[in-house]
Amino acid sequence: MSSVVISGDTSGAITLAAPAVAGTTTLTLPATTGSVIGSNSSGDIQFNSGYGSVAKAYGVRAWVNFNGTTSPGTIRGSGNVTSITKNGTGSFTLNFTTAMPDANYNWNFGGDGSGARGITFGVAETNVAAPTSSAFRMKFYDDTAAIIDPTYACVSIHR
Amino acid sequence: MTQVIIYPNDEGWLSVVTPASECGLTIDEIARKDVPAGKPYHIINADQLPTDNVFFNAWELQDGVVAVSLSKAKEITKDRLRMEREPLLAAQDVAFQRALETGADTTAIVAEKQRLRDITKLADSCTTTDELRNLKA
Repeated sequence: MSSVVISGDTSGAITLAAPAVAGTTTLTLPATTGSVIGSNSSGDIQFNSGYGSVAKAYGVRAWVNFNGTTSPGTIRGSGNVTSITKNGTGSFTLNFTTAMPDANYNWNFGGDGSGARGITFGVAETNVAAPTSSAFRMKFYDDTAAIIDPTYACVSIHR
Repeated sequence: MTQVIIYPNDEGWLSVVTPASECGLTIDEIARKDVPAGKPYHIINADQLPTDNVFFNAWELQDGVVAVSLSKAKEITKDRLRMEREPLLAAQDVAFQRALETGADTTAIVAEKQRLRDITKLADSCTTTDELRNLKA
């Protein structure tokens, strides 16, 4: 067996804490050499997951997949979301469980084929409400520019 | 039974809040967090909502029950009919121009254009949402 080295070059302590549950937890390192995961002085997790170098990882801070055509709307799956508010036909608000650090996050929509000609897309409804750290308002259209309730509304928030 | 939160919104109808089951909060906690401050809200069973969303923008709370406002539903229907008739009117305009070029009779075309112009008036005489739903351009 090769050696396992835990080292520190400043004062303080390095702690590997076991989870408060019974059982065995295994952390398996990849069969490659060099740095694969790390963190910087800001506490950001960094990894090389095919990037070519160890770099800061930007995670999805919230996501949802919901059906807007049902009454009420149906959330198929979500993360960091307390609820979806239906404001009107085609208009929904995504409410975050843990607020974003600010409103300058990135949003992405996944469309679906439920529109009149098989296309549905979402936009941020900024003409009504600007994104905030706690909620994100959006509206859905089909490719005839008609406002519609989407069958598959998929939204992810990155920060 | 799934529960939802309803509250009157600034647009003049109801907003409906659907909780995310994964969030770990109770529906009361979600209501306090996600309903805009100052808005009176109600927590109801989901089966107390109308079963389709066609007239969502006409939903109102009437005597504690979510109901469809017929007058608002008529306006929603008129908007839909206006969108539906737009390409039909354009097609009749083309047919009218062709008839003029060839000297053909335009009587039927003129009648159809008038029918499309008057289509929204039909909504005014409807007495149920089913009648409104069945109106087509």
